[in-house]
Amino acid sequence: MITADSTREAVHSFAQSVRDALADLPADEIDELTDGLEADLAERADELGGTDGFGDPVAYADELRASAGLPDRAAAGRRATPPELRALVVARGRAAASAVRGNPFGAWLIDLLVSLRPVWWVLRGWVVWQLCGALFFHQLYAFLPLNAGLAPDPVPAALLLALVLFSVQWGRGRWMPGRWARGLLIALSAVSILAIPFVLAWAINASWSAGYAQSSTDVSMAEKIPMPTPTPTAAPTHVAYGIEGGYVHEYTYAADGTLVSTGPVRDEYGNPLRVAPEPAATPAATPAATPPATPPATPSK
Amino acid sequence: MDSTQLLKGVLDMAVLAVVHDEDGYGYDIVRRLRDSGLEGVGDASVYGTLRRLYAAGALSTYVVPSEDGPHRKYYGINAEGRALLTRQKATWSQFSATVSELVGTATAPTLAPIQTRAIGAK
Repeated sequence: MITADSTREAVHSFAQSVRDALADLPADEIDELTDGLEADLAERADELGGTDGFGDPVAYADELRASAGLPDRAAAGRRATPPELRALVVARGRAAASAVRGNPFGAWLIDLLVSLRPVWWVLRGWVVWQLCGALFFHQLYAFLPLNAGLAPDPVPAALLLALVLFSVQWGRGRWMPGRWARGLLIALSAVSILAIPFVLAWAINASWSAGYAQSSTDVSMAEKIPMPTPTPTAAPTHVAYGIEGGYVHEYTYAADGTLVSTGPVRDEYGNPLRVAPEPAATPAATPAATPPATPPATPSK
Repeated sequence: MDSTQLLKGVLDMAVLAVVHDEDGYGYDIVRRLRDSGLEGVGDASVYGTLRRLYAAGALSTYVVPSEDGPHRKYYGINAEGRALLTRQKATWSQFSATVSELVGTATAPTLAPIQTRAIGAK
């Protein structure tokens, strides 16, 4: 009969759930507690006309356990408290470490990592410094807090030293005023680990940019030539450059196309900038220039 | 008053008393307890109590196979169980008399009515 079969199935399933909830007990204890349970449950199901009134098998198991004078479910069966969880994590970590130490390469690697801890402490201080700079000073440095003249910027440099000092001291377990400091250290370490790729990327990027700017000012005379500035009276203006007799000339036009000013472009010593060998007949001082009537797209002779 | 708390204190004695009358299997004992007026008794509480009393040496047990289903585990009282029941009855008698006097109810002529009133009161 289907009903009898399904009831028997439900009884068996309930009994199994009860046994599962007692699984932390020794096997013979579970057998003693639940021996004959199916018969009792089946009889009760007959009386109730089904297994709906059985309730929660875990609560049933708890009641069985309590009335038999057995201890509450072990820690594994319920939510672990924070200290238990912490102890569990520490134990798992130790077990993993000893497993890795079991082979020669693992032991060598762990020793290497342990001896590299000071490097991590310094790196952590540096990463936190970069984050502070970005968050509080809105300033991005390369790897060190140097200004354009390659001299240390005092405030960021002092901050970097202080953060590295704190990171190292905390790594050594010093200067820990309380439990909160340990929590803060763990949080900062986690943030640092997450931030390392980004901080490194922008530091490398910043150092490349700085290097490019440095080298371009060294080799290029053009950047040191006084650049024309728009005259405030005639703004907006257009500026064009042309070559007249081997010298670079600058022509400034007003918005309506009238020529405002003209003159040779001079180098940093005040000499006219020459692009061709000096003609023998022309005096070197101030060569005459005939400006084009309108702003030329590409000035030429 | 919550009778389940009172029941916890006297369940051992009640189970021993039921088994003392006649051997029984788990659900049979539950049913007899409920028929006696302890309607609120839980199945699992009775099974756990039987297990504990057996472990304490107050009960003996034997299995009766069933033709049409799972086997039944019967419990019977032994000499130790009878001695335990006698001690518990004496304690209960003294205790219930003291409490009844304290709360000002009529003194109980016999054990059974007090037990029913104290535990079975809904």
